[in-house]
Amino acid sequence: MSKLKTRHSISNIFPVILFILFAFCIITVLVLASSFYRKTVVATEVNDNVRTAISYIREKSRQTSGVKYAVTECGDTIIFNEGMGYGTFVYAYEGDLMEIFTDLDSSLVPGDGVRICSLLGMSVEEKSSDNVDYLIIDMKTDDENENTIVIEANTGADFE
Amino acid sequence: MNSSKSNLFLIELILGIMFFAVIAAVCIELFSASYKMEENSSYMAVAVNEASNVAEVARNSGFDNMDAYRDILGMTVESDKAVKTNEYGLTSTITQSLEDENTYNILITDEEEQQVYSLLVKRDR
Repeated sequence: MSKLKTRHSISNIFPVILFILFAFCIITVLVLASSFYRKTVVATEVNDNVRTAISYIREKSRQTSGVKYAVTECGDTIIFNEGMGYGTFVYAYEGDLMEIFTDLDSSLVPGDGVRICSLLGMSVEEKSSDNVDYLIIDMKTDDENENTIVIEANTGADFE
Repeated sequence: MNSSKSNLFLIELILGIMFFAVIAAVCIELFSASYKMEENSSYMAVAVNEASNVAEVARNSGFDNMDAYRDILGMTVESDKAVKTNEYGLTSTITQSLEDENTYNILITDEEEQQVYSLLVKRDR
């Protein structure tokens, strides 16, 4: 009789232990899945911002008649000459890549720009080789990564 | 009676765990595959950008001007090619095509020397 009672006790506890294990596994899988999902979403967002910023600057440099670099009220700024004395000023401000379309001589207010995409920071360096000038643009897209774009700086006479 | 109920619960639980284990394995694999795909996509974006940078310098500096690759992109110039490895471990190489002297091949390879991206650029005659 007492043998039977002991068996009962174990067989009652075992399913409970199994259930606790089962619940623990569910929580672990959920945490793992949410971690994977979060990482994927963040990486997609960063990648999307990188591609947007790179494509925007590259296409703009091909579309406009001149490109130059200047340090303005907005910090490091790439100026695309749109003709007729107007230009597009592209700069990084408070975590975003911004642009302002205005006349080339006007003073800039960083907050007045139109947001293009997220960008932690941008620094520009001018280099030249055999009389061809280039802009080396370093874009900080997240805490770890930087992307560099090289475009020809075609200041020409249009900017005068 | 009590023992029979307990056994039924145990069987149900074991079946539930088995089903859950299979679904969990599939889900984790799918999530990890999506993360891997995203990583590859980011890698590809960097590779395309690297190739575009080399192409920009090639186009504006007359393709065979090796000094420009060195001065602007910091590439190491060897006899017939310029090479550079970036912080992502991607190596960019530009070489003149053997078939056509006006065509240049920009090759981006990873740390295992596997091709990630390649771009053919042609000089206007």
